[in-house]
Amino acid sequence: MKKIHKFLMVVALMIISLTSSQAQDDKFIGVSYSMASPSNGMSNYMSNASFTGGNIEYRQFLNNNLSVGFNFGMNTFNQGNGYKTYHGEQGAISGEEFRDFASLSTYATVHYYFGEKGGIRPYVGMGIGASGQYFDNQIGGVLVTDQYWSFSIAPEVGVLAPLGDSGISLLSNVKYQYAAPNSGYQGMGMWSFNIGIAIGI
Amino acid sequence: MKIIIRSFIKVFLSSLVLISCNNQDYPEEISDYDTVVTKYEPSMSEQFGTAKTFSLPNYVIHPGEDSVTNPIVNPLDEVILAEAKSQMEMAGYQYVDANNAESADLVVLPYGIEVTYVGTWNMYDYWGGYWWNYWGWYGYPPYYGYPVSGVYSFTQGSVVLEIVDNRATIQEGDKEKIPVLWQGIINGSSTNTLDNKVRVEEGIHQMFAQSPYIQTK
Repeated sequence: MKKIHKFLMVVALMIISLTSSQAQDDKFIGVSYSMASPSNGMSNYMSNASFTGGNIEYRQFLNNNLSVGFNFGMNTFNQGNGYKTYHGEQGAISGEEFRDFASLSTYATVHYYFGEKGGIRPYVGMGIGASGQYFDNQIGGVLVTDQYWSFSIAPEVGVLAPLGDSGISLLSNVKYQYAAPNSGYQGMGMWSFNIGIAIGI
Repeated sequence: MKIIIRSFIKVFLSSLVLISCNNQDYPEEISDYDTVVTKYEPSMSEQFGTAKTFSLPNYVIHPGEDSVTNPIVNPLDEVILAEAKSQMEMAGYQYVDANNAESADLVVLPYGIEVTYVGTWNMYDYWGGYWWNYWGWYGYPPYYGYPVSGVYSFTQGSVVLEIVDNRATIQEGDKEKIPVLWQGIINGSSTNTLDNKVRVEEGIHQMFAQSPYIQTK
């Protein structure tokens, strides 16, 4: 156990020393608009794409090619399914059906960048954390809600393109966000397409 | 370059506003909240197949009112009775007049329930009394805005149909009860009489459409 503590302390000191040696423009806050399309699992519940979503994130470069940070994101989905009837063991319910779905995500992120600083930099990255799924299902005047949080990962590819020497960059990426099965729900995936700006701090 | 960056940010933020205003699917009409629920006991569903005849009262029961001495108290009652009779006949059952209801295999019991909700709303607290005048934007003298208030009311109604098996009884203690085979419920908010009639007709039709086991053999 002591060895593990020592190892963790060494890693923490290395990260602190690396980050503190970077210049201020080696970190940025990113804000992006997000569209999303349901994929495995989620598409059983929702077929419409989401045009209401966004991300806010922070990244700190550890060296020329590597950054760590965190990301908070949200996408909301909505669709009307028309008049529907659902049968159970002892009866049935009918009415106009409306579904809402919101996915909240919190990730610790790591990104690897290609190219040189100051230029257009494609990157690959990975987010690991948790995401919450919030369901509303309304049939006529009956509303059923449910929610759960589960482990989640989000591999991504993107590009960071500086807008002159303003300290602002165009931030664009595509993520596949996957939430692991939990609370009786199967795993849920969605593709998100994000575009925004990164502001150096 | 600064002009380009500013333009980009403006276009980006404007796009966000426009996109966030996109049309979404939500209930738009009162009838979007109409709900039809049916419930039955699967172990007793065979009784529907063996029954041949049915009856129903000449009036709709309104809990809390004296329906026996004052029948037909709501314009929708006739619609409920006619549609329930029509649906049972379409399911293959032969109608028996209410005066001979004791000889019918099944009896349909119709209920009508209306509840009116009344409330008030008042915007004074938020717009007149607090936000506007707190910052001194509107209103004179300060801390006094124009109160805006009103009264709202809406009526929610339910139509309930029950089908009981007139051929059997259930013993509960020293009481004999007639078993209820099926219950159908329509719930919604009232609008105008003509619209309500159509919605009640459609609702009762849906009750039977989602209960295919109600069928004589």
